[in-house]
Parts: sequence; structure tokens; C-alpha cells
Amino acid sequence: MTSSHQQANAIVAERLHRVYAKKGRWLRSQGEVVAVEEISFAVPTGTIFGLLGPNGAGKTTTIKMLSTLLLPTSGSATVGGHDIVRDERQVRRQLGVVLGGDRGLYDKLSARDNLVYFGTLYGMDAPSIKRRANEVLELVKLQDRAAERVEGFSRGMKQRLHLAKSLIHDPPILILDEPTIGLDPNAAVDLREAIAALVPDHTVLLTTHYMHEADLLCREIAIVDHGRIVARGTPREVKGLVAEDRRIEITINQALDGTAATIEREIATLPGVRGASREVLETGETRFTILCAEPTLTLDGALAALRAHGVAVSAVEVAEPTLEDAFLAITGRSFE
Amino acid sequence: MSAHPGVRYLSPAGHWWATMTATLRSQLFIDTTYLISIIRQPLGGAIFFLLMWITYQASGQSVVAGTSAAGFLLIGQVGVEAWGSTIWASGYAIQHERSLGTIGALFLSPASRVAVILGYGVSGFLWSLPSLLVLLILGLIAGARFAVADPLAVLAALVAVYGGSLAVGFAFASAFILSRRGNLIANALQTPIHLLAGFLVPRSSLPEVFQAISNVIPAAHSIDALRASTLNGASLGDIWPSLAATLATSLGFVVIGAWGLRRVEFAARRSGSLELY
Ligand SMILES: Nc1ncnc2c1ncn2[C@@H]1O[C@H](COP(=O)(O)OP(=O)(O)OP(=O)(O)O)[C@@H](O)[C@H]1O
Ligand SMILES: [Mg+2]
Repeated sequence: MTSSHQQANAIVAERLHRVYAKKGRWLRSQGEVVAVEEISFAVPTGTIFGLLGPNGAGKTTTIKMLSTLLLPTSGSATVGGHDIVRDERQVRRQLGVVLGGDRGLYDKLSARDNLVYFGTLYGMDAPSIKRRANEVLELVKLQDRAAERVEGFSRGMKQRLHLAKSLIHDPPILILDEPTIGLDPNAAVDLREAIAALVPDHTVLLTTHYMHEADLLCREIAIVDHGRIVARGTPREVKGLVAEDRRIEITINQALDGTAATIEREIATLPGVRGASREVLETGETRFTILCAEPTLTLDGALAALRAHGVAVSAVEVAEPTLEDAFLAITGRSFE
Repeated sequence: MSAHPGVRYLSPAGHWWATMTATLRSQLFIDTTYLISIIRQPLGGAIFFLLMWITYQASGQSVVAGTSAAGFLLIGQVGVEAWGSTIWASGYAIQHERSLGTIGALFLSPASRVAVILGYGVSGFLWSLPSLLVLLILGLIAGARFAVADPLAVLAALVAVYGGSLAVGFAFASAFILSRRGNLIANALQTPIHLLAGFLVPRSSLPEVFQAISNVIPAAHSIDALRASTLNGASLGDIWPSLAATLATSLGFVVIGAWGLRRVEFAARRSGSLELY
């Protein structure tokens, strides 16, 4: 029945488009939101594909359409060769989906009972469920807590149980929405290892906010912004879009309040600057990150701007661009 | 067919049955998390019975529709329990799934939705059994007396009472899935049926419009059958018209439910509201 293994692409999206009706109180309409705008991409069988983008970019909406939870407004897509609108049952059979978050589990049931129930919903026989439950619990390192009620689980434990749940029927294709959200760094590393081990036997489509995660895991990525794909390729190719550029980090050992935005705007409009952003570090310092073609020229201009506002610089660094910088360059603004 | 060499799948019928029983088991387990939820239902039923019985006493009516008020109410209360447990079980369970965010996972699985809803319904039925026992004792103390000539007729009428309630609950399941506040709908539906189906007062004493409406409610017919077979010694031969009416109206609700479920799934996918709480 499953033909995904013979197909070159496990997932194909063609001009997928989704508009939400914005609802006010009661039945009042507040217009529409275009969440996903004619997105097209293909995920080769046996690979991991990443959708990256800031909050509200349309990643979850795309994933919900592909997993048959949401109908596209227009456009089409196939998963494992089956149409997501017409053949939703065939699509669902070969799909494991992690929508993530705190919800989506029976909080009064134990981790194992959750897995057993979902295995039953997928029509597996009891011995298969038992064996698979042990396998996936071990994979996500929850075997010691399997008998406990889920309501007492930490966010990261729930997140891992979500992955286990999506794997219980061992589907050939997995769709994971921010699989490592809420995990501590060690747990995130473990989970990434588990996901990396799924290929080439499985195909994985995931979304993430973490550029380094995409860099580590994904064969190909697509950067989504305002519902559109703004860049696509291997992580190396996407980084290559800014390979000629340099990244300048200027640190100021004080919080800047109102002037920070003004300074950022002035820096962003300097000649040769492809993008500028600022952040307040945990130490209370302010850091400007600038992506530019001519670092010496830009640095002069940026330092002059800072001096004009009476701001003293504590450190300056010039470095090779990262995937974050690619995003900055492509969209003109910071990722976070 | 299996993606995993070691994963074996059940036959479609086996899958259906396993889904129903697993839902039932989970539901019973979840509902017994708190001790209060175990005694709540029998207690609620007992208080309601006493309230109605005292009301009849206060109005000076000790005989209703040819039998004792206690007997009339006791059987009516079986209808109250059956209706409450099925409508409440499916309404509340679906609302619960929504609040947990598991409803999306349920829809993503290839499991039969009917089997899941039936699992809720059967758990509701099991929950009502302790209440029935408490009510039986209370009813006898209050003076209810049985006249049973045909135990089979009683059994058939009981099955009809629960089956009919389940059918109506099934028809409303779609509304619970589509609405974000299924429990409120369940709440609103609970009391009108008590009146319309003749659980608390004889249907013949209702205004004519209500009497006409009550004919489409399976429980109205099945409670007639249950009263006749338990209190007036009616046989299967006597009550079959009521049983047939229960079956016919129940089938109507099952058809509405099956149609509704399919529509609802599509509507939820279109609006994108399935995951919202
Ligand atoms: N059910 C809904 N009704 C109305 N608008 C919605 C709904 N779901 C999402 N949207 C809107 O669609 C857009 C895309 O949202 P989406 O959840 O797909 O973004 P995302 O990329 O997953 O963001 P995040 O990184 O924050 O998870 C947003 O503007 C959002 O407000
Ligand atoms: Mg999202």
C-alpha cells in the first residue's frame, strides 16, 4: 500500500495557500489573514527537510495542511503520493505528526497508557503495541518514567512523549512542529540524535526556530517569512547567499533605552549594509549585529553613529556569517 | 502494508472493537481519577429523585398515571440516568479532548470515530449503574411496587431506553465536536428532554405542541415501554409498538449522527478550529 519508498519525493507541496478568517467577538468578522502564500517545495524520500522562520511565518499552518488537519484555500500537495485533500485517510496512515506543546496528551493517563491508546487508534495489535511502546520510550529516554501520569511531566518530557507518540505506529513519514522547543540543551541534543537516526528509513519534515538545529539536521531547508519561501536550498547554499558578507558585532556595556532604535535605523541605512539588528544580552549589555559587504567601511560609519549619540563601545568583532545572518540578509531583520 | 516489519495490524473489525474498548477503558480510568466523581452521580440522582418525589407529595398526588408516584418517578429516573450519562459522556468527553488538545490526534488516526464515541457512551452507561442501584433502593423505600409479568419485556425496554439515549447522544456528538463549548450544549439539552420524554410528568399532561415534539424522542417511547412492563405487568406483545417506535426514532438519530460526523470533520478542517480551545 505504501508507495513512498519508491517515490523520489515523500512530500510535494504545490502553490499551497491558506487564508484564515479573523473572527472578532461573537460572529463579527475582522477580515482575513493570509497565513501561507503559494508555497511550493518537495521533500526527497529518506531526508530531513526544515522549514525555518520567525513567529507567525506560516510554518505550523503549512504543516497542518500537509497533515490533513487543515484544508488549503488553494493549491495542492501529496504525502507519500496521496493527495492531502482527496485521500486524507491514506495520508494519515503513513504519517506521524508532532504538533507539540503542552497539549495533545491524556494528562491523567501514564506515558505508557498514552502510547498504548494511540497505538490502538492506529489499529496495531497488542503485542506490537507493547513492543513498540518499549522501543519508542527508550528512544526518547522516558522508560524510567513510563508509569507516571503525564500531568506531572515537565515540558521537555511531554515534548519527548509527543515524539514517541508520533512514532508508535512507525510511520514512514514524520512531520514535526518545533520538536525541540522547551528542551534543555542536553535533552535537545539527545532528541536531535533520535531524529537524525530516523533517516534514511523515514522522511522527516520539521519546523524550527533554531538555525543551528536546521544546519545540523536538515539536508535541505526553506526559509519562510510572511507566508512565503524567501530562500531555499541546502544549509550551505543558504549560507552561501551571504558568503561574501561579513558579520560585525558591536557590544556596548550599557542598556540604551530609546536611542537604541534610532541608532539601529541609522546603521541599517549605511551604504553596503544588508541588515542590522540589536539585542540586550543577559549581562545587560547591548549588542548590534550588522551584516555588510565592506566591513571596514561599515565599521567606520557605525562607530561614528554611536559616537554621535555619545555611546561608548566595549567590544567589536568581525566574523563569518551564520545561517542567522543569512536570514538577516534575506529579510532585512533579525530572526528572533 | 506495514511500514515497520515487526508491526502487525488488526482486522478492520478488530480495530473497531479495540478502539471502542480502549476508549471505554481510558475513559473509565480518567473518570475515576477523583473520588468525588465516583459518588457524584449516584448522589445527584438520589437528590433529584427525592426532590421530585417530595414535590408530588406536597401537591397531594400519590397516584400518577395509574401507578404510585414513587414507581412512576423511579422508572422515569432510569430515563434521566440513561439520557444524562450518554449525552453527558459524549459531550463532556469531546469537550475534554478539545481542552487536552488530543482531538486533533484523534482525527489524525485512522480509527473509527463511531467506535470512539461509542466507547464514551458505554462508559457513561457503566457509570449510571451504581446510580440505578441507589435509586432502586430509594424508590422501594418511598413505596414503589413492581408488577412484572414478562422479564424479557423489561430487559427489552431497558435496552431500548439506553440504546435510544445513545442514538440521540451520537447525533449530538457532531455538534460537540464542531462547537468549542460542547458541555454547554449538553447542559442545555439535559433538562428539556426530562420534560419532553415524560420522565418526570406523564406526557399526556404536557401541552399539545410538546406532546407532538416528544414523539421524535426515542426515550419517550422506551420509557412508556419500561413503565408498562415493570409497573403494569405488560408483556412483549403489549409493548412492541413502543419498542418499534423507539427503534424507528433511534435509527433516525443514528443516520443524522453518521451524516453529521462526516460533515463536521470536513467543516473543522476547513475552518481550522479543531485544535482551538
Ligand atoms: N486558527 C487561526 N485563525 C486565524 N489566524 C490564524 C490561525 N492560526 C494561525 N493564524 C495566523 O496565521 C499566521 C501564521 O501562523 P502560524 O501558526 O502558521 O505561524 P508559525 O510560523 O507556526 O509561527 P510560530 O513560529 O510562532 O509557531 C499568523 O499570522 C497567525 O496569526
Ligand atoms: Mg508554529
